[in-house]
Amino acid sequence: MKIIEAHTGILSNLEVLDLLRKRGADQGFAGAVSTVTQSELKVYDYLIHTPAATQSRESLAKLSKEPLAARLLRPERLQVANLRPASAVEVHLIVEDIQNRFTDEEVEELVSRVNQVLPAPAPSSAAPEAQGAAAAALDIDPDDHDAQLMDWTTQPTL
Amino acid sequence: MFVLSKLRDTLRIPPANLVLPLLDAITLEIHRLFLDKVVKDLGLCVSLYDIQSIEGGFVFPGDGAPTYTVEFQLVMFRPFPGEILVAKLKKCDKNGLVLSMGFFEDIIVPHHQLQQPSKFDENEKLWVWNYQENEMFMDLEEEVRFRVLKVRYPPIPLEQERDAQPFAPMEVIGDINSDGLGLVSWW
Repeated sequence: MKIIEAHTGILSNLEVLDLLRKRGADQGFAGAVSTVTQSELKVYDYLIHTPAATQSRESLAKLSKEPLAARLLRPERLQVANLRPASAVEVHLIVEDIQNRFTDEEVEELVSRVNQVLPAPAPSSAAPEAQGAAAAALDIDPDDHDAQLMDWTTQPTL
Repeated sequence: MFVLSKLRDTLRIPPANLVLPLLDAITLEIHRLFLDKVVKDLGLCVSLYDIQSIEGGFVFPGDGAPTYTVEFQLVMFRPFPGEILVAKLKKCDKNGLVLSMGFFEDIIVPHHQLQQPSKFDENEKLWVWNYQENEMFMDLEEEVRFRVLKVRYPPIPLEQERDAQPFAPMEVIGDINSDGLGLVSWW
């Protein structure tokens, strides 16, 4: 076994969730044939309880166009999408050197923009319905791998 | 949390699988070898992303099975230092906390990385954080937000005692010693 490239790209939680849905994770083990393995199902179970479960590619694209979000570094924008911070405290955790880069008002503004652009995570009891609705809303061409990589994945900077 | 890694490997497809389309047979073999396994310095393999090239298919003398050289990309779970993640509290003991994300269970928060001041309550066998005269218990099965300090890949032990903990090939060391970290319900 040879590792050609250890880091070809970074994936947001939404992208991994899409990949697992495409492999049939949302059907679970209903029916005789399941295309997805147990370990992938565990990852799916974890991701469905994160904010990524109700996100879509359009909402992530809108987030990267936000002026405040554009000032964040790539890994910080990724974490904002994965975690959907709902308060300034969480943004302080994600962004490095925040005192010198953003004022307090800008941090509050960022939190409110994130809450408007990214859909709210489903309440835990509604997770199965949310996943059905979110899966129906996605429009993925299963053979088009390149289109599925977000803008920030083409040039990893980590 | 998740990154892509590109690998090349020579795969031997058992003759019984040759009735399947070639892609399916190769996918099955990659799943068998890599899925849910840890590759040192790359992380835990979560899923196969795509197969980029398949070459070969030679049958070596004395063998009944063809061998292909395949290049493929795997989705790896490999958190970076400084990343903020959420996991469930699985175990509390004197040394600290053990957190689990369902698919990955070896997340350790050593006792000196907990919110200060914290102490271990012997009666309940739980860690307690003293915040402004309030005692905040860290109950099991609660969601905990933590920051990744580093990811370790301990070497495989040659010998183990009978009752030793099962060997963990990948460990994530975390801390919850900041505003916003710890139980999600606290903030």
